[in-house]
Amino acid sequence: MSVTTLTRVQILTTVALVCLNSTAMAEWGKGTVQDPITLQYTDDVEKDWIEGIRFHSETGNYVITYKDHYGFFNQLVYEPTSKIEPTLRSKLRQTSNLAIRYQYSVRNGKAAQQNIVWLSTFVSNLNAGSPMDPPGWEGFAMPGVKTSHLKLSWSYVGKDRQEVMSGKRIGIAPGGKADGFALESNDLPGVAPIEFRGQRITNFAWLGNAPEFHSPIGQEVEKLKVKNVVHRVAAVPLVRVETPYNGAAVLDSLRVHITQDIVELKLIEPQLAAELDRVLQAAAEAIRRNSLKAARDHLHDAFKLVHKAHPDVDKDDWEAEDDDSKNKGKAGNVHPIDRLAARVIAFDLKYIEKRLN
Amino acid sequence: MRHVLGRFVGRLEEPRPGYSQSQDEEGVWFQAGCPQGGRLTWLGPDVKDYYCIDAPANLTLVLSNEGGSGGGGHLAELEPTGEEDHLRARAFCDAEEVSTAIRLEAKVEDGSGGHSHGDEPVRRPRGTLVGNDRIGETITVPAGSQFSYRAPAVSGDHTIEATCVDTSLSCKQEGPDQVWVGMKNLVPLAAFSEYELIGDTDSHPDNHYLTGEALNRVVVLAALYRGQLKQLFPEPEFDFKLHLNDASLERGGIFDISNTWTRPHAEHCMGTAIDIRANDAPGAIPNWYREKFEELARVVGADPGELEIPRDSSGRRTPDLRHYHVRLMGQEGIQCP
Repeated sequence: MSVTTLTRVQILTTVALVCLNSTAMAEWGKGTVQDPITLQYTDDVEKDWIEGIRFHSETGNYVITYKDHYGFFNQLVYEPTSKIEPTLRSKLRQTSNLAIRYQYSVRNGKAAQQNIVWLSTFVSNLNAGSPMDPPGWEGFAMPGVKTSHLKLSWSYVGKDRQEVMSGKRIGIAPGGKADGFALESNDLPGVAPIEFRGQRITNFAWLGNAPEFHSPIGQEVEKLKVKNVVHRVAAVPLVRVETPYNGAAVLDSLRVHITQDIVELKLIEPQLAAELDRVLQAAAEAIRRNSLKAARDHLHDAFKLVHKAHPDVDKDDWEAEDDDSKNKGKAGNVHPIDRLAARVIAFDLKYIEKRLN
Repeated sequence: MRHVLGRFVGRLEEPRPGYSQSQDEEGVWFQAGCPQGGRLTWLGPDVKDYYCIDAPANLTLVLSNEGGSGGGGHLAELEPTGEEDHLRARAFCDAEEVSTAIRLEAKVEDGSGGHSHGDEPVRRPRGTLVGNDRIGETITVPAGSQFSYRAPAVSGDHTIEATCVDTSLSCKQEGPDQVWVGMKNLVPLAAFSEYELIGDTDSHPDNHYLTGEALNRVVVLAALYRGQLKQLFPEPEFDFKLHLNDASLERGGIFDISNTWTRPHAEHCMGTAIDIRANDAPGAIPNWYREKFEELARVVGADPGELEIPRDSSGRRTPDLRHYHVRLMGQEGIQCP
């Protein structure tokens, strides 16, 4: 190892890094250092090491220092897969067979540094033939691990064998857009977080072994992994519609989604959620009593509440919806409910009212 | 205890009838024998508590478990590093419980737990006995007293051998003496057309044990991987299969790839993690498909982690051995002893 290299590594790792976690004690030992810029390894470096994770402001990557089970230290460069700027537009349409068709388009911001190659969420149910994919993408729906929901994901495979074997996944490049993510479900829309990942430009591998999950540095790594995804929200099937149809049960399912999921996502103020819940409960009870007029009145009241909270709800033009910057999901200062959440709830109310007939 | 003929505790101030006694240099009486027909025994190396019992004494030594870990005909069933502290050692003469000092020794059956290597180059851990203020692989306890057993981090069939300290007594151990150490409910990953099993060695011939759920996930992952690549490479000469290396041994516990009864081979202890070949060897995940593989792993609920490049015994990086260490159950079940 040259003196120049060591000096460069030392300067870069001790001066330019912003310390995120430095509570551990230094330990003298031997190990391998990866240069944050050139990514070259330097072995047999003897120095004081401190386990931890530091942000490297020059590259936007992280530098992870840990001791492996072989007794050697490693200082490695970790590129997060979150250097992307996704925006997602949801479009909903009721089909002739009373199912809902969900369509999405995804953009990657011009300032993004990585291509978007993965998006994932949970849905309550899908109809046969779903999900549908844009060219080069492949969708999966698998049973959820800890939930009754399906885990839905799209990942970019490549349009042909040559592209796949190049190892360069184009996905959605910075400034680009992909349409054609679609699915069909009998279940009504709710609002759910969607995870996006970008494709790393640099390769990464743990030397020796990955830090064990239960070790202090392992816990730090787990926190770092959370930063590997970028979250947005989308309209996806979440409100169950059973067969035979039961409007009261659908309303109950919608109430749970509003008062739990949407509140948890901070897309609606709890006071408005509670108010809506009371009206929807009354509507469900009216349906159970077969008082359809009363049920319709309560649904109208609910719609008025949502409309008052966010006037955009009565726009049926999903195509024109959603300035990209708005669809990041939260109840803003102006409106007590997020725009997407308001439109999804309004869509569900109209569907339920329609089926009262 | 009917067979105890007399007892001497500590020093005597004066002679007692019926005992063979002497005075030491300071004029203190001490016991030197037993009444006629009696046989001298003792309770422990540091306890000046002597008994005289019937002779000849044929004692039966029995170990029992008053805790919750017994079962399956075993004295105890423990997970690696698990502990049972409600064990008791008793001595019986006919049906009567008697007192004597009992020597306990933890042993292990060669070849058990999926380890076909022995005490070389490093002695296999036997577990730890704790009782009577003693701790170690061998301890001495008074009959009737409780003791603990701490299982080692290595799974296997262990026994606790009980013998009388007084070698002039005729003692025989009866009843359960085996401690089953390991993770339960691990099942072997069978050979299957969707993947290849690799990595078995003479020391660890069965290296693909997993929990049922973890097994399901790796099978689905392998099928997805093969199916996805088959769509891209339909020609019969292409057949991409995951090459599955070390998971866990048949009972979990430490998976000592270096035959040293210790790490490194972290997180291969509970049947929830598996290594998958990702180097340049045949059957490895191609570099150009790595990220896609990671996504497939996430689809089945696994944490693909990142590539690992092991070190050799001298600490050199060994890129030729790089692999994925996949946590099949996410963060569950990866805490190893």
